[in-house]
Amino acid sequence: MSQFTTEQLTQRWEDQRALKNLMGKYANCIILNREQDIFDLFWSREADVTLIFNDGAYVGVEAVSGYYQACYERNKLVARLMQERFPEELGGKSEEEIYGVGPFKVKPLSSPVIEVAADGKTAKGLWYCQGAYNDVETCGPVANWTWGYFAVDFVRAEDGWKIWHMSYTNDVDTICGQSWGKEPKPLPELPEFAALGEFRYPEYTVKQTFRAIYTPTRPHTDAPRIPEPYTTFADTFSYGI
Amino acid sequence: MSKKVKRTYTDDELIRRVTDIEEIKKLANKRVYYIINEWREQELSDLWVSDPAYQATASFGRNTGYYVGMDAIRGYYVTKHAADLGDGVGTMNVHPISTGLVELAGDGKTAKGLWYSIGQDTTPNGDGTAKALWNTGKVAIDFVKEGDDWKIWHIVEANDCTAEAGSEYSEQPVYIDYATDPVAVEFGTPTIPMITHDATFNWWDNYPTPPVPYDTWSDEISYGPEGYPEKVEYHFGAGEGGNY
Repeated sequence: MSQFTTEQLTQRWEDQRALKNLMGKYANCIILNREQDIFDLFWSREADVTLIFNDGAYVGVEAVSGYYQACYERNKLVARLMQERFPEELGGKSEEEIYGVGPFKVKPLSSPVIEVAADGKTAKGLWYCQGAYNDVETCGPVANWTWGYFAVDFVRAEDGWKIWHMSYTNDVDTICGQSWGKEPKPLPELPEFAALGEFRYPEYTVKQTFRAIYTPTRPHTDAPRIPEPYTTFADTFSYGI
Repeated sequence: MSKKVKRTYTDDELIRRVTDIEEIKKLANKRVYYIINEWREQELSDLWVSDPAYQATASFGRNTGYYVGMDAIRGYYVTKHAADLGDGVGTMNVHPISTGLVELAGDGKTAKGLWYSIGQDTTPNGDGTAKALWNTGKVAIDFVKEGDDWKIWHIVEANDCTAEAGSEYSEQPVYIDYATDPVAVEFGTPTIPMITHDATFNWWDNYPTPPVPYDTWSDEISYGPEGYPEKVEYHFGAGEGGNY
């Protein structure tokens, strides 16, 4: 800390606040089912932008933005199926009016460890997320606990901080009311939601297991690496591939 | 009790105080990932006090007392835990913290923080299943600055609720049996055995207390045993709601 002037310390504090706010806005967009806005609002246009999940990764502008567009398409499909299932409540409404019915994806972020590069050009952040994924599946509406990590590289662009690499991986993905330490009990499928079984997200650019979901036989698994103070991005590790 | 002294700060001092608070929050948050990684020995060496004088009075408290001194803390927190952990297969201990409240002393030498944790501890049963426990409670920490770095001096992890995932919390026995309570059993026999926080009925005994602004350190505001507040009448003797 002593290496920085008062002005630099002030700038670095403002950077941290901006990074926390960026992630807060990201999480709020997910709650509001505004995935179609996320890429334009928050992501860098760096060629190697990367979005990693437990079982695969999207790499590149087209692949990452395509994922969010697919979320939007799935939200529309869910709303249409809910409209068909609940005609009294939703019948007669337009696609725009019913958009957002069904999914309620909560990704609250806590325990941030943020490091802004000494050169101020990039930053890294690690958050814990005790989330819930309340959505409509082939079994109908269902709520899952999702416990995991957001590990993010940021890059400063002309219009502020942007997401460069994001790894969102979970340890727990379990139906609420069940134990992640026991055999999962899937809910029976319902014919009115069978169309969701046909829905496919785009193929991953890289298909591999980046983090195994917890099971009672999983070897101990560390959290994503904790950000460490660094001078410039070449001196540290990447949350990308 | 330390009195709040009105100080005035220069711009340079103010931004350094703001930065100190951010560093303190980051330290507490780093500990979250150290716990997940089972880096308990590293936690004590990286994040806790190293000055022998502070190490002698360092403490780790839970509902059933305090371990005092780094050797005692290490015996419980590292050695005993490592024996319980075994090879780590099927184990997952996660205690994220939120709702942070940090007070930096007016003199900038110490700080106090309080967080809430909705955590879980999952341990294998040995039969292909695991016992997954929700554990929620307050995490209170005293910090002291050693050189340029903030360090953990005293911790209290005050458990409010333990419930097995997928079970009905409302069906739990009302009264805590400390002989079988998983949090008490895990804590073992501390240096100072005492009930610091009684979670019966989620009865509110306000321990550990939220930090308040203060100017300079005194033991009576410590989250260590020396700062435990004067015992007041809890339980049925206080009458219904008598703690409020």
